[in-house]
Amino acid sequence: MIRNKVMRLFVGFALGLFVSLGVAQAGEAIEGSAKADKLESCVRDTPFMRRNHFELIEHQRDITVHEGIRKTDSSIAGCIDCHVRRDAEGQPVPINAPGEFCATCHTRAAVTLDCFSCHATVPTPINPAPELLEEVKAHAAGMDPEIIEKAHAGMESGSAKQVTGN
Amino acid sequence: MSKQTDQGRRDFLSRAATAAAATTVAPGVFLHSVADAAPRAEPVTSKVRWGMLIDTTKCADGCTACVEACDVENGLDLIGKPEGASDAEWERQRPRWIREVKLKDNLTDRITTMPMLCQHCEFPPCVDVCPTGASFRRADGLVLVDRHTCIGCRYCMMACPYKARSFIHENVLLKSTAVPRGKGCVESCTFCVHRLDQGETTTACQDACSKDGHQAIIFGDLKDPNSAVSQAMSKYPTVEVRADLKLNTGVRYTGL
Ligand code: HEC
Ligand code: HEC
Ligand code: HEC
Repeated sequence: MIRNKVMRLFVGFALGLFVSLGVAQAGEAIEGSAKADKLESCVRDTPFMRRNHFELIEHQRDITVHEGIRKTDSSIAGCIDCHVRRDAEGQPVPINAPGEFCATCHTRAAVTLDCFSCHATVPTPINPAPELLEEVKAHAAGMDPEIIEKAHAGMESGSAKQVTGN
Repeated sequence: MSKQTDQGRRDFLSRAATAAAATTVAPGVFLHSVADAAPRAEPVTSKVRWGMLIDTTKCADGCTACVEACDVENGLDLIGKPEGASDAEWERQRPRWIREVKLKDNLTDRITTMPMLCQHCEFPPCVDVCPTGASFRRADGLVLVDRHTCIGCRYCMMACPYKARSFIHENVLLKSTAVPRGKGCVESCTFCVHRLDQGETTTACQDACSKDGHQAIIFGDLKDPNSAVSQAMSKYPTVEVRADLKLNTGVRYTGL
């Protein structure tokens, strides 16, 4: 999925450079579409967040996993829920895709996170829509990125209850 | 599905049955408020011990409702078979939190079906052997893996007498917010911790089993004498699987 995005961005970039096509690609995040964009402040003040956001979530991580505390403003699921941007179709764009919220600074600061090898990069309900699941299963072996993307889209609009971290 | 006819188990199970005839569940006599459906704000305490009673006489042969519900709830069905793996290999190695186990009594030919899952021991061998402290027992009795400290050594898998733990061999491309997972870590049944921490009091397997009309699974607080699970345990003889190991399991069986 990430690879797919990277590819798209590369293609978009190349087109932009050589053909100077300024049109937004499908799936590209829309400026101002995150919940955070409509809010004044983060869960702490901005200078604090810039410097200490990782301590905040890593602290929360231990509290949640070992003590079961879920009523918090510092869950990683919460960061994603508020900061994730949407594309023209209203689908969330993975928070760690190039240019997205959890990627920009980290790319600049050469920080590599392993968090998103496990944590979902878009808010998801527990159950994806059944027909998408069938599709995923059928293609599971190859894990075709297009299908994974579709499944994520289906998860977003999907059936079951939404679970966010806070 | 992941059915196994495992005759070796028959032997230890019958031993277990005799050993655990006089099982006692920790007799907490305090009353605590009924959990309301809100995210937990206070740390979990040992005033609660989550546990489960499985009535094997109600567990229908061929029914896999609990296994499937668990797969969906915990995103286990989102994990694809690795390229090149045979079906047999996959069935053996795929991550599963509940396995359906079949027992045959060689004398009578009677077959018992039962779900086998993490038994949430009071003295869990998986916790004893973990070199990083990733395998831990939460105050409310859940035996969990902190995936942030798990190094994937799999000692816990070897130590578990119930074969309850799975290893994630491949990158996980499709993820769910509630149940994160990734390559290189061990995991097992969490008693649907993401539900419990939101104030819910049922597990996906229990819900599925009830929905199918079997009601073989009762889940609840073992320390609350009024909970359905405590009530049932005080009425029927229950066994711990491998009671000889004295692990004081949080999962008990009847009809074995
Ligand atoms: C190997 C998989 C894995 C990796 C890598 C990982 N996590 Fe987690 N994380 C989990 C699991 C599993 C949970 C438990 C989920 C639950 O019970 O809600 C969790 C829970 C959390 C929680 C509490 C739940 C929530 O939504 O807030 C936080 C915070 C968290 N992780 C932060 C991080 C951060 C930060 C990183 C990267 C530095 C990271 N994790 C990397 C698997 C992982
Ligand atoms: C309820 C919505 C919300 C949640 C939840 C949230 N944020 Fe924010 N965050 C914001 C807003 C709004 C801003 C912009 C504040 C400003 O403009 O000064 C912000 C700013 C930030 C910044 C500074 C960005 C910059 O441009 O310098 C960081 C870093 C950050 N958030 C990280 C996080 C992390 C990590 C989490 C999870 C613990 C999180 N946020 C959770 C709304 C949120
Ligand atoms: C304002 C820029 C900025 C934004 C936005 C940002 N980060 Fe960071 N992040 C950093 C910097 C800089 C570091 C490295 C800090 C250091 O090593 O001292 C870092 C480090 C981290 C670390 C610790 C990495 C490690 O190896 O210990 C985690 C975890 C993290 N960020 C998570 C996030 C998440 C999740 C988001 C999106 C919700 C996010 N960050 C958004 C700038 C940012």
